[in-house]
Amino acid sequence: MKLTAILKKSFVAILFCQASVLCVLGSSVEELATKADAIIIGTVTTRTESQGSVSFDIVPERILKGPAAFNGRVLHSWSGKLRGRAQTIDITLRGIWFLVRSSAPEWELLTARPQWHGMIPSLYFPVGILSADYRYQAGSPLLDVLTFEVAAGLESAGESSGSQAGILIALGDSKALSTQTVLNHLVNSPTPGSQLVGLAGVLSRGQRGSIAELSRRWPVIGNDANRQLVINAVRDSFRDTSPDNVQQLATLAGATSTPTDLKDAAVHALASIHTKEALPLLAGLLSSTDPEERMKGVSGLAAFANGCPQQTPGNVASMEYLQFRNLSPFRTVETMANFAFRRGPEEQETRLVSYWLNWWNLNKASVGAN
Amino acid sequence: MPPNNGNPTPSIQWSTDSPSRLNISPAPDGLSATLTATGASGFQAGYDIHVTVTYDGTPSSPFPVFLNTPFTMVHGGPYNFSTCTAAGYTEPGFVEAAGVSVADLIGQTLLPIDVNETLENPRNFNGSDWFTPPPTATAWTPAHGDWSGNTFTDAILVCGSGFHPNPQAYSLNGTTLESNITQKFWIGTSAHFQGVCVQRDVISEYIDHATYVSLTTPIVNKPDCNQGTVIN
Repeated sequence: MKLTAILKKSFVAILFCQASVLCVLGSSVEELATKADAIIIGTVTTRTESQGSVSFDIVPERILKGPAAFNGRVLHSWSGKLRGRAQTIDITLRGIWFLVRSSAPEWELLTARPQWHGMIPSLYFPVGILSADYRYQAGSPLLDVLTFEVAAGLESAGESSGSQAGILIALGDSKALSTQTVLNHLVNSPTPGSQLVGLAGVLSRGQRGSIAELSRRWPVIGNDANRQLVINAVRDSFRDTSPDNVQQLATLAGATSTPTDLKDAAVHALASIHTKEALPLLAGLLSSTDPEERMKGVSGLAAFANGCPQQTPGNVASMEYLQFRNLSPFRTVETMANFAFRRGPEEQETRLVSYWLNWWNLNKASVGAN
Repeated sequence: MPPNNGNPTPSIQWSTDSPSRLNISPAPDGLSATLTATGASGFQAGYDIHVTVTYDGTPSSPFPVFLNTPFTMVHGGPYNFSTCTAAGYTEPGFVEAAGVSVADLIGQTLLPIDVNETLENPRNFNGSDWFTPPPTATAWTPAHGDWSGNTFTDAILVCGSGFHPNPQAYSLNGTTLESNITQKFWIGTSAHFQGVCVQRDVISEYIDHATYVSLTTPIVNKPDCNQGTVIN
């Protein structure tokens, strides 16, 4: 009966105050290219800007998408950061602009770079000189053209201390060949800051060998101001389950030379992935002196035994990763009763750690983890 | 559970040890119920909410319910500073932008969600007019493309020669406070002082940079975010 079915579940999860998540993942070039009615490479020499809107004319150089001849005024409504009264600003901006038709006579703009929220750079990508790696042929697909043009522009812009990090946002989660070309170009750059951005990109995509590459390059990039990009990529996005990648991640997490923040990120990723290759490292955490690490070990082993899907950015809001969705020969009434995924009272944690230590000792041979 | 005692009209009661956080609406036959969260689980509290079903006087084992919520701001995204010219504005002055994320009770960062800031008690110091008029609050809405992956940007722009005193190029050397304001971040809504408050701080602006001070996240004591509760 239904009641029985409900009560057999050892865990019920409800998201409190869930709002409109899972709708837009930011402004990647791919999304912008789809949404825009016109894509223009052009120049703005003067604009009128206030807290409520910004307006200007674009002098087009090339039209990548849209009308054969572009001749239009742009009016963009926003929550602008400029303080005080409206100002006329005579600064030349050369960029790639993504426009949509509106009910007004003027064109409206899409937000190209949300990291500049409320400021004029949010409305365009800068234009740069294409390196040899980025040169494309006439007639190339629009997405490839945009990927190379945007990457070249952001690499050379120097608008801020972290301009190049914007490349990751622009690429989104694209797996196109042109995206791969850009990331490889950055990884192989002589500049540590560029290497770091490229590595964050390949890690987010779970590229084979990317963890080993991170370990190799860490002495060079580890002191960069934007090192958090790589740490976030490992912690939140790297979810490749291929045995060699997971073992490399476990090696990174277990190395004494790995700094604490990178180790924490690697442990979080291993608990999220929780394939059998991750289990020896996670089981080792059960004996840690750090209660946070002990409970990471508990959550990883419990997720494995109970058949939870791996945690990804896409299933955080639904909390599907905390549900026993997959088949598991190790799932029992006891493993379900001892399922845990976060810190708790000391006596509760002590009991859970003891249970999962015992479970590991009893099951590690049949798990088949090396 | 259930005992399956053959009673065709069993008495079934649902109850919770946390009625302030969980509302239970049983179906007419009592065999199922709709659970509605009216609060959230505690921080690092393990399983702190339970439901029990009593069937003809025999109680079930309490089964745990976890109620998640947006909980804390995570500072660690890309941080940028810039000259005004490089950002497309007139000198003098500085531009700063901090990438931040929102995490739930488990520490997982959330995908884009409506975020709103409230700004209270704008104050000028040492003859400054930087907050005259006061700055307007910002909303970050996924539908408007205001997020980058699971990060949004909280930015400060103080550019141009229309201020008293005029700002200077970015550095961390300035020690004279020009202005400050109490800032609070609210998740799940674009309405002021609604939703879940996850951070309270003061934005302090100096002649050549701005910074968060007295930053508190998560907000464990909800009244800390009440309208009118300011810390500058």
